[in-house]
Order: sequence, then C-alpha cells, then structure tokens
Amino acid sequence: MNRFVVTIGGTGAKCFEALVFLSAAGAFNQDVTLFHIDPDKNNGNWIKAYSALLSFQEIKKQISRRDILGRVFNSSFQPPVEGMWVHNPYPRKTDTENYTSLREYCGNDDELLQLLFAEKARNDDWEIGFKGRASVGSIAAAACIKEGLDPWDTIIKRINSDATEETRFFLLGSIFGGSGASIFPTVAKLLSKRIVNAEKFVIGGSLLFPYFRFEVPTEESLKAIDRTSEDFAKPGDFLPKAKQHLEYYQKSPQGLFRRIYIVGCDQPRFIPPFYGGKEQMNPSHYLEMVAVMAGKDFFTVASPELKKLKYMHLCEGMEVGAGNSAKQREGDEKIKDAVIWKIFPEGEAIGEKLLVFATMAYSFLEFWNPLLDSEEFKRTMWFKELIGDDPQFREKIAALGDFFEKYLNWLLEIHYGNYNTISGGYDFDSNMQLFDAASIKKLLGEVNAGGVAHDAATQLNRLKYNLMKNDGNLSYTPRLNAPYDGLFLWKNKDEYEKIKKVNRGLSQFESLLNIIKTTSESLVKENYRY
Amino acid sequence: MGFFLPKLTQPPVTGNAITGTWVAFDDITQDFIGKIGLNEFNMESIASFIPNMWSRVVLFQKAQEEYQQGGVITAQSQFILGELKGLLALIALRNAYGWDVQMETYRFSGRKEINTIAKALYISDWNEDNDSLHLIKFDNKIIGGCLNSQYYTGFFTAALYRVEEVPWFDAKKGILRCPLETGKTGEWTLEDIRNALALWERATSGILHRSILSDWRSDINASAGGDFKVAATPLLSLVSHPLAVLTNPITTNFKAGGIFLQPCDSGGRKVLYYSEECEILPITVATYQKLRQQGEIKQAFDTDKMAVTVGAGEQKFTSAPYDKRELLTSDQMSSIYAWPNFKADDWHDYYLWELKKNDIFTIQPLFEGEGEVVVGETNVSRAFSSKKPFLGISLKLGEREIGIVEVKYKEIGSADHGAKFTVGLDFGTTHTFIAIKDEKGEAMGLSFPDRTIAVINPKSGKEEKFLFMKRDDGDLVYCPVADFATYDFMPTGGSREKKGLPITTLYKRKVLGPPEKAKDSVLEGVAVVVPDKRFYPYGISKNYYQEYDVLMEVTNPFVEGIKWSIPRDRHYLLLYLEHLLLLIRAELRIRRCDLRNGIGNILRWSYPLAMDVEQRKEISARILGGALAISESEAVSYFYEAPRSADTPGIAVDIGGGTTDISLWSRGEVKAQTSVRIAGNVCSKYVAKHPHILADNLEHFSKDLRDDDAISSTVTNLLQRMPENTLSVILSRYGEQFASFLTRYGHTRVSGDLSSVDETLLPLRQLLEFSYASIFYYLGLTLKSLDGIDTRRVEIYRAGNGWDHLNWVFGSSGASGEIPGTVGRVMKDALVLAFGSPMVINIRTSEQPKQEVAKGLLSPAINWDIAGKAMKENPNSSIAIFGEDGFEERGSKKSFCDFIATGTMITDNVPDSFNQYEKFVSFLQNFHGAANFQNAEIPSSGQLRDHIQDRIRTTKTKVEEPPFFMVIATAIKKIWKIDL
Repeated sequence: MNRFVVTIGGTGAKCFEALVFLSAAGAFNQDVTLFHIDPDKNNGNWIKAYSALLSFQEIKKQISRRDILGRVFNSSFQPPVEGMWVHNPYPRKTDTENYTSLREYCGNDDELLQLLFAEKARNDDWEIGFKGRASVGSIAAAACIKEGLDPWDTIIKRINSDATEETRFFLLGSIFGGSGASIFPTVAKLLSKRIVNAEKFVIGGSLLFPYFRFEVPTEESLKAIDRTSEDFAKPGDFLPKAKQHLEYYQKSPQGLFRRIYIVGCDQPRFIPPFYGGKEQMNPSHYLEMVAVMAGKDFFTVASPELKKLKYMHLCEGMEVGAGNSAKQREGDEKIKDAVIWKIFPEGEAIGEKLLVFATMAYSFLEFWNPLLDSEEFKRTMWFKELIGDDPQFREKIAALGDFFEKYLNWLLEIHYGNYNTISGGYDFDSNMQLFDAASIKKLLGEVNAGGVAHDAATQLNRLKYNLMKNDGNLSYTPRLNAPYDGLFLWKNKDEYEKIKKVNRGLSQFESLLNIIKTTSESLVKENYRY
Repeated sequence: MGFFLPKLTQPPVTGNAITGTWVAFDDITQDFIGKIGLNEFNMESIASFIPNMWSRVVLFQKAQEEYQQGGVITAQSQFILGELKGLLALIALRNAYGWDVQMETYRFSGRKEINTIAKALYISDWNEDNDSLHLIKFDNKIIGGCLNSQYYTGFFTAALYRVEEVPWFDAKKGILRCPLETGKTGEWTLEDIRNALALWERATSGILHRSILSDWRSDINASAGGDFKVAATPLLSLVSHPLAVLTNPITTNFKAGGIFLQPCDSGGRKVLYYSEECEILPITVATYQKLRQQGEIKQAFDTDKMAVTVGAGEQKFTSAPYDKRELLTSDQMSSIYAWPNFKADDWHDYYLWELKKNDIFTIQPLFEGEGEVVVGETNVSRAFSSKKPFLGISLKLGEREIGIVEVKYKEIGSADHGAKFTVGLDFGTTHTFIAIKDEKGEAMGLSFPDRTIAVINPKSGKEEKFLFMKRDDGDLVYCPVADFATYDFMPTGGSREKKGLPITTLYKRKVLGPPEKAKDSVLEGVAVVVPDKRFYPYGISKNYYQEYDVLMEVTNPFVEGIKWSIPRDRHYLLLYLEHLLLLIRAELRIRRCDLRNGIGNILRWSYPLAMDVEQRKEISARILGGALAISESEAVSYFYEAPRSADTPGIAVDIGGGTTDISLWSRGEVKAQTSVRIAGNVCSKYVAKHPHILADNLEHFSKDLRDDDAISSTVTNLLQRMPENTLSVILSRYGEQFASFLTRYGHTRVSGDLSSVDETLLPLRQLLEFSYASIFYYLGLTLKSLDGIDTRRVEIYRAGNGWDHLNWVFGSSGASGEIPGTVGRVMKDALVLAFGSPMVINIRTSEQPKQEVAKGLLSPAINWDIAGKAMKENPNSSIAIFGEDGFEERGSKKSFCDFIATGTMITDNVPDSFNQYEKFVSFLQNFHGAANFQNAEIPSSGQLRDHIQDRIRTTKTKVEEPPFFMVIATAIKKIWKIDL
C-alpha cells in the first residue's frame, strides 16, 4: 500500500512534528511518503518540525537493521521528490519566481477581482501565507496541481503508474486558518480528477478545529511596529471560519475523500499573538498528536470501510465503575476536562511507548551522554563487550542527543503550553495529565543547564523520575531493592547477557540505542504499573 | 472556561471502561456543524473564508437555498438576503427611472490560467454553452454579478463596491441594504420599492428565477454587440413581463383569513418564529403555555386563528373589538399575545402578554398625522395613495395600548407622540435599574410589569428563554445581564440530553404564589438550587412548583466574561441591551413619547470605568443610538448633587455586583477616580470556592430534612443572616458546585457552627480590606493635595448593592443604612492615615438603594458637553500624580512607564522623592488591616515593576488609571492571584 501523509500550513507543521516524534517512539509505525505544504515558507512551526525531521533522518541513517529496536525509530519517511520536504503552493511566474499577490496572478484583472475578492485579499503579499483567506488559498493550490509541476505531477504519475496498488492519502491541517482550509479540499478535489483508478485510491484527512487563541495586539501598540490588526489572523473568526469551511466541504463534491477526522477540543489555549513567518511558533498541543493518531486509524482501517465518506470524531474513553460513574465523572469538572491516555484510541499503549521513549531520552541526555565522554568508562570491560569503540562515535550520537532533547521539549510544550497573557510566559495546563510535566520540566531544566554530574547510581535513581503519576494513568511504583549489578545499569545478569547477544554484529550506534531501549523498557515495566 | 465546540455524544457505557475510539457522525450537520455559532461577522471576512474563489456566489447560493427551503435562516443568510434585496431594488427600478445600471457579459479574456482555475473551482462543472457571468455596474462601477448556471442562477453583490449615490447604500459597512429597512428611498416612492421587492418575493418565489434572466438574455440577444445596457423604460406596461408588476398599484394588502399577509406590512421582511419562517406575523395568538408544554408550539402560530373581523371587500379593513373569550372556551390556559421585534437580525424576540379570559383587545390601523384612529371602517388602499401613509397597527388591551406594529420606514410621530422623557439606564452585573423622568422632573423606576422577553435560539429552533421583566422591590428589572448569558443561549448551546453536560437545573422562583405559601418561606424572592430535580424548594409542594415552572437552566461558565473580558461573549451583552431597549421603547410608546429623533436622544447610560473605551463606544453606537454616558460613580455623585455644589469634597462609592467605581469630587471636578473589579462578585466567587460556608446551610434543603421543624428553624436563622441578593447571586452562579458538593458530602458537613466560616472568610476579608483601604489611602493623599478647600471634612456617598455583600462578609454594625462595620472603619482609617490629621467623615446613604446611578443619570445638573469626558477618555492625556508631600504634578503616562522601566522618573517637574512603591510599602505597614499581612508574601519592588509593566502593556488602551492603583492592583494579583 502506498501511504502519503501531507501536512498543510502552520497547524499542519505542528502535526508534522508530532508525527516525527510519535514515529520515533514507535507509536506511529508506518512507512510513508511525507511532505509539507506551506505558503509561509519561513513559518516558525515548520522550521521547528523540519529540524526534528532532519535529526530523525540523521538517526535513521545510522540504523541499518530495522528489527533491532522494535518499533522505535522503525518508521521511514521519504519525500515525494528527492529533497522536497516542503512545497510552497504558489503559482509560478517563471521557474524560479512566484507571483507575489493574487492581483498579479490574475493579470490585474480588476473587474473580476473586485467582483470576487475584497481589497485585502487581492493585494496581500503572499509571502506570509493567506492569513485566513481561504478563497485566495484555493486559487494558489489549484494553480499548483497541474501537469508538469512537482510534487503533484510526480505523485500523480507514481500513483497512476501502478493503478493496482492501493494508495491512501492523508492530509492534516487546520480548518480554521487559510492554508489548511483552502488546500485541504482543493488538493482532494483536483487530485481525484487526475487519478486513473479511483477504486484503489482514497483520501482521508484530519481537520483540526480551533484549539488555540490569542489576543490581537491593540492598534496602538501595532503602530509602533508598523502593522495593523488586519495583519493578524483573528481568533474570533476561527470558529465561524471552521463552520463555513465544514459546511462548504459538505456541500461541494468531495472527490475521493473517504474519511474526515474532526479533531478539536472545547477549551482553546491561549498562545502569544503572531503575525506569521518566523513569529509563528506555537507550542505543541496534544490535539496534533490526536490528528496523527487519526492518520494511523485511516491507514489501518479495512478497505471496505472506505467505500463511503464518513466524518469521524474522537469519542473519548473513560473509566467507569463503582463510585466513578460516567454521570459523576461529567459532574466533576476536574476529571471532565482532564486529558489522560485513556481518552485516546489505544491511548494507554501509545502512552507506554512515549514513556519508554521519554525514559530513553532522559537516560541518554543525563547519563549516557556524559558517560561516553569518560575515557575511564570506555576502558571498562562491559563497554567493550556491549558497545565497542569507534572514533566517529561521538559525532554520530550528536543527532541522537539533539533529537531526544527536542522530544522532551515537545512533551513539555504539550503540558506547559498555556500562554499567560499577563506574564508573557507559559503556564502549566492543569488539564494535561499525560505525563507528570513537572518532572519533565525538571529533567529538561537540568539537561539545559548542561547536565548534572552525578555518579551512575544517582543517575539511575533519577531515571525513576515519576514521569506519570496521575489518577487513572500509568502510575509509579517504587522499585524494591532491584538486583542491579555493580553499575546498576540493568536489572540482572540475564538482561546483560541478552543485550550482549543482541548487540553482537550491531554498530556502536545501534548497540547504544539497544542498551538504552532495553533498559528503559525494563525500567518502565518495573516502575510503572497499569 | 466556556465550551468552545459542541460536545459530542458519548456512546452508551457498557462494562467498566470505555476506551477512546473514532466514531462516525450520524449526521454531521445536525450533530455538529449546526451547533457551531457564527457570532458576529462582517461580510468581507466571511466571504474570504470560503475555500473557493467563488466564495461570494457560494454564500448567495446558500442564502437562497435556505430561503427556499424554509426553516432556519442563519444570520449570515439574512444579511446576504438583505444585500440582495438592496441590489434587486436598484436593478428593478432602473427601468422606471433610467438610472445607469448596466449589465455586461464577462469574458475571461484576461489570463488563461485564472480562467481555468475559476472554472475548476466552480462548485459544479462550468458549461461554456449555457453558463454565463455578467457584471452588474452602477455608474460604471462594479456592484455585483449575475450568474446563470446550474449551480446558482441569480444576482450577487460584489466583494467590494461603493455606490454612495444609492440611498440605501450603507457607507459604513460598504453594503447595499434593503431600502425598506433603511427607510431611505431617494427619489423613488416607497411603493415602488416595496413593489420591486414584492416581485422578488412573490413573482419569483424568493429567488430571481431564470425566467427573468431569460428575458434579460433576450435583451442581450437583441443587442448586436453582446455587451449591453438595459434601456431605461419609463413604464413596463406589458402584463406578461415579470417586471410589469412593478408599476401596478397595490391595493390588496389585506384579505380575509389573516391580516397583513402581504410583504408591505412590515417592510417585506420575513421573521422566524420557532424556526418557522413566517410570512409576517405582526400579531398572533397562541395558547402558549399549554402548547409549549405539549411541544406543539409551531402549530400555534397559525395566522388563520386570528379572529379579526375583516370587511367583505378585500380593500376594506374593519377593525372591531374582539373578544378573546371565543378562543378560551376549552380548558386552555391563558393565552399569550406576541409582538415580534422587527429590529432583531439574528435572534427573534417577541413581546408576550399573558391575557386573562375576559380581556378584550382591539386592533386599529394607524396613519401618519391622524392621531387616534377611529375604530371603524377604513379604506386601506388609501394608505398607499394618500399623503398620509399607513404606519402600522395599534394593539389595545382594553383601553391600554400594549403594542404597535410599525411599518419600519418611519417612526410614528404624530402630535400625540410628543411627550418628553429622559431615561437613565444602569445595567449592572447582577441588577439592572432603569429610571425615567418626565417633564415634571421626577425620576422614577421604570418597570415592565407582566412583560416577558422570549428568545428563540435560531440555531436549534427549539430552545426558549423567558425572562420576566417583572417589577420587584425597588422597581428593579429582574433580568440582569448575567442571567441573560446562560449556557443554553450561547451559540454552541443545544439540548441538555445531547450534550451530556453537567447541568444542574436552577429554578428561579419569581412568583411565590399564594400568600399562605409565601409567608411560610424564608426564601422570599431568592433563587433556590434544585439539583437534578430530585427535590423541590423549601416550602413549596411539587405540584405547586410545576405550575409555576418558570425558569431557566443555568450553568454559567460564560457569565464571568459576559460584561467584560471575553469579546465573543460581548455579543450577548449587546443582545441583552437590544432586548432591554426594545422594552424601553415599548414603554415609551405607551407613554406617547416622541421618538422621532431616535431613542439615543433621550437615553442616558452609565458604565463602570473598568469597561474599556472601545466596548463603551460600541455599546453606545451600535445599540443605544449614540446615547450619552458617564461613569457609574460620576452618576452617583449627580444623584447626591452635593459634590458639585458644596465646598466639602465628596467621594462617590458605587459597589455593585461586578465592579466598584469610586470617584473623588471637589467643586464639580473629578479629582481622582478608579474602578476595580472587586465587588459583590468577589464575595460570591470566594464563597463558591469554599462551599462549606454555605453548605452547612444548604444541606437543609434536603428533602429528608426540610420537614423537621428544628432544622428548618436553624436554616431559617442561618439564611436570614445573609442578604437576599447575595444568596441569590451565589446560588445562581455556583449552584452546580453547591449541588455537587452537597451530593458528595451529604449530612456530615452540617455543623451549625459558624466559627469555621469566620476563619475561612479571613482571606476574603483581607482582600477587601486591602483593596478598599489602598484606594482610600490614595484618595486621602489626593485630598491632602487640594488647595483652597477645607479638606478636613469629606462626605462619602454610598451606592450599589454590593454593600450588602460587605455587610455579610464583615458583619453589619447593626443600624440600617449604616456603612458596614469593619470595612467602613477601613475606609475611614485609610483616608485619615494618608491625610495625616483628623478628619470629619460623613457617610451618606440614600433611601433608594441600587437606584442611585440610574436616577443620577437624569440629574438636570449634568452638563453633557463636558460630562463623561473625564481624563480617562483619552489614553494619551496626562494623569494626575500626587506626591507624598501633597505635591501635585502632571506627569504623562509615558513618564510613569519610563519610571517603572528604569526606576528613574524623567520629567522636569516631578520630585525625586516620587516613588509609588515606597508609598505602597508605607501604606502596607500602616493601614488598618496591616496586622493580617505579617505573614503575607508582599511582592518586592522588582516583582511589582515587572507586573506593572505587563499591566501597562495589557491595559494600554483600555483603562487609564493612576499609577498607585496599578501598584495595588499588581500587588493584589501577586498576593491573591486575582486579576482586576
């Protein structure tokens, strides 16, 4: 099966980032052709997501055997055209130059423009996106999906070249902005028209409803930076837009759309106001993860299920039982709004994978990374037995450290993404109960501070940070005198031997990852109960 | 926080756990999209939202589809249809008057690519042979398009156009409006326009059908060049031509079996009632209560049931007394008469009168200049041919005129409507008071006895809201804005069952019923929480209760922000005011008030200073007809009159449900003023967060206990300690929490011992002490700096119902009308502390509690040329800064900001000793409640500076306030985590 994942716009970029981390942790385990569409090429969200992707790809290069790490770092991504991870959907004036505004593109045909577009929409500089003007975005998108223009041309040719192979195409974007909302249906519509074997081609997508808001700065303060509120998206418009878009999707031909996942929450978070471009760097949100999980559902659902278009929504799971009935649960605000693993499809399994990966990240950053600088350590027998020396080793693991740090930051943002409009900082979102965010923050604080030089035993104890501890979630059980060997790195001799056996024939990099993964899994299993 | 998206239905629970899963919508439109509200919008934005370059066409297509299908027409579509009517009126009338309206065939002759894309993005395939696009131009400027295709056939307005020559062009919004709504018809007669629109409504079933276009197209074919200009034909006499009807006089506006069925009666507008589009329903009858209970309200609105006698000939209209008893021969309950509000664009509200069986009402036509209309025969066609146009109808109940259905284009303005009134409006968070004053000059409370506002939620078409505008003690309108903003009427509302939301039903018992019951109840006039309908209010039987099943479900996540912080919810504040204004207008009509110059000219309103300027302007301009306004405390000062005339300075203190407004006056000038969002609300919130304060009491509502005399007696005593409105507010806002608390803890929390309550209240008392003391400390400094006035004497003028809350929190000194004990001392002490020497402080209390603001607004002493334009109006103006030594200087806000940023005040004329933080610390060490702060975490100078910078940034254009208040507000945020 050909699988395509296409993320669109600022929100899409956030989903892209979530996809990379979920894949690395093994929670999204699919090989996909992946790329991002963004009219705002300097979008901060995309820069961040792309940076995560590059680290991920760097690590993947070091892994030759996919089976070793289970699902961790197992997924593989490829762009539709070599090197083309991102696509700017602008009509091209020449091979190297795009049109800069709708007006220019329409050949200054004022009458048609006046008839169909308001002034701002006509004349806005396209450089920083469509600013919520989906009607303009639809034109740009339509202009790009035509013969001879990549990546669409290559994609269509590839799909049509083997019309017997099933292809599933998954789009992720916001329904309340400009790019996602306009490109999402346009791509589906125009793509559908050019696919040869419609029986084997289906499109699905996650549409994210408004999940953040911000205060548009006052006109007065904007004057100072030579802007007006017109330059900003308007959070007050998000929901009306979402409604408009969804109504429009409903009424217009849907092409080969078969699954549209509505992803949203009822309590949007505050974020800082942004203008576009690099300024748009929103903190990550759990819904981006949900949107990616929808993609997993889409890729795994049986083909017969995809004969007809269905709009899907997440039906949150809950715990029901004596003293905790659904009714009481709804009546209790604290529980009602809590985001816990149970509310997601396969939530607890995903939670466990992310926990193991968080433990891996921490153990690498706080323990292994400093340790590997130690010459004394490298002289130990077990280092030689399990890892072995490699002069290039230090360079190779740099990407790993980088990626793990990004991952922990991502987790942290999910929990600490509540922008405080007064202080200008971020507050903890008390509804987020996926991880014990305070612990992650503490860990990350230490990592950012350059790590703390602890002895190995202390380090290991610190690994048992109570990453999850909330009610109804994975909870922490202190380990009782676990029989670790001298360095407290593994549970017992058996585990040591097991790692040793697996590591035989692996590269140093792979060996190290295997050690971290195996010990982290063991640690999680020992210390967290379900 | 409120719910942003509609909650989706949970699946049935089976077993012990449900895991999250993806579920398909059964009907996404009904289950999800339909529940999303549009809030406010402007057309430019909405059009650009649609992901199709034909976005405007998409909108017009949708509007017409809704129109044709009947049922709910969204606000957006109503807006579009209004535009369309404006355009159509112009186009249709071009023939008779030769205005330069052109129609040109558009050819995609420009770029080839845009042509391709324009067609690709068309909602269905474009057919070159049959489909066409025309540009509509007026005076050679584009104003719209005309599309002829499978998907949409008809006109649509352009995204951007300016046709200011057209009278009904709204230059502010940049749109054409329905001329009948604007009343602006230019050189055309109203009949012309009305007929033009009647054509649209009648001859074409609501859309400009392709048959009309085909005629136009034959014109196109007739012209040789393709592009064409429609000839200005003086009169279309060909009967077969669809436009011919434009020139026919309409004389058949009334017919048997119904009244006013034709579009002319109300300006051609259609109204929605219970999600049913009604041709026009100026007056109709429903056996309301019963039908509502049976869920058959739709059928009730059948105009055929109007037993109005109509003359034999269609052109005659006989108005005759009508005895409603005919309708009430069965066991139906009393009937409700409805009067639709034609002003409402998106929500449709009606006046409802509940009638008794013997009531008789009459309907009379009204003609301009004729004054009282003689009951009898009237030749209606005259209305449209004489110089005295038909204005509407008057509905009378007995001798009392209870309603006027007016033709929208003109205010009724006969000589009989010449009474002069002024109206003062004080809309508080928890209470609204309206004062009215006639030419004799006596201000009185204006109440709306027996009137109800009913609001139908057009989103669901089912939800109803009833607010009885009932007179209560002190003429209060018992319909505060906070109640108006209940969950069910928010845009995402829906039925309780579907949402599965945690709603606890709160019944507000407005009518206590038989006196023998009322006297048994200690709950006279207060709200009662009834969790899950499992038990009934104290002292009221189940049956009795149901009979008076008035009321509403309240979950109030939205209330907090309704008046203040959440821009989205301000829409509801505006709606509330719109409704209120409607009632005021009705009352004024009854009093034959001259409204010809608009209600804005006779209305005065007040705002708390904490309300930002933009919001204030919006309210005034959009809803209140540009009515003049001053701050609440300023109005209080006018109520007492003394501050502006006497040498003795006065401090007006209006403590309301949501804000405390304070201003210091000397010789008619405001010397200092501020507004803090600490008032009754803080008390309510605090108590709500510490339910045990009340839980002890509320426990006794339990069914098992309420018959126990001993316990009842205890409850009675406890509740009597609390002022009625405090309890009412607390319960209405936080009933859910209480209910949850009670359900969870049961009887065990009944203690009857209030010592723990006192302890719990301590932080609240500290906050209040700190806030009021610091404000008065500042006022003391200001007083000290006044020259030439004997500032050793000062008068404090009390206003507002929040004082009752303080009374309860601190305990009253006992005597009625006295300032609450502790807090009164706090204020006085702080004043003296800052002043530095003994003072004589009088506290004045009016005999009209809660009415001071509204009545103050009507004071003849107000000079409206300068009132309300205090220093806070202009954010760039300088503000008064008072040094500790009484030195007064004018420093700019910028210099204060600089000071905060750098620690150095860079001005030429402000002494170095100026330091607000020092002042704050000095205050903290010395004020009355200082002992309570020994262990409090007092923010450092640096911490305050950071917070103040934030505060300046976030409130930059909202509220101007003296620096010292910034310091204390910041300190309060730091210590109590309360953002003022």
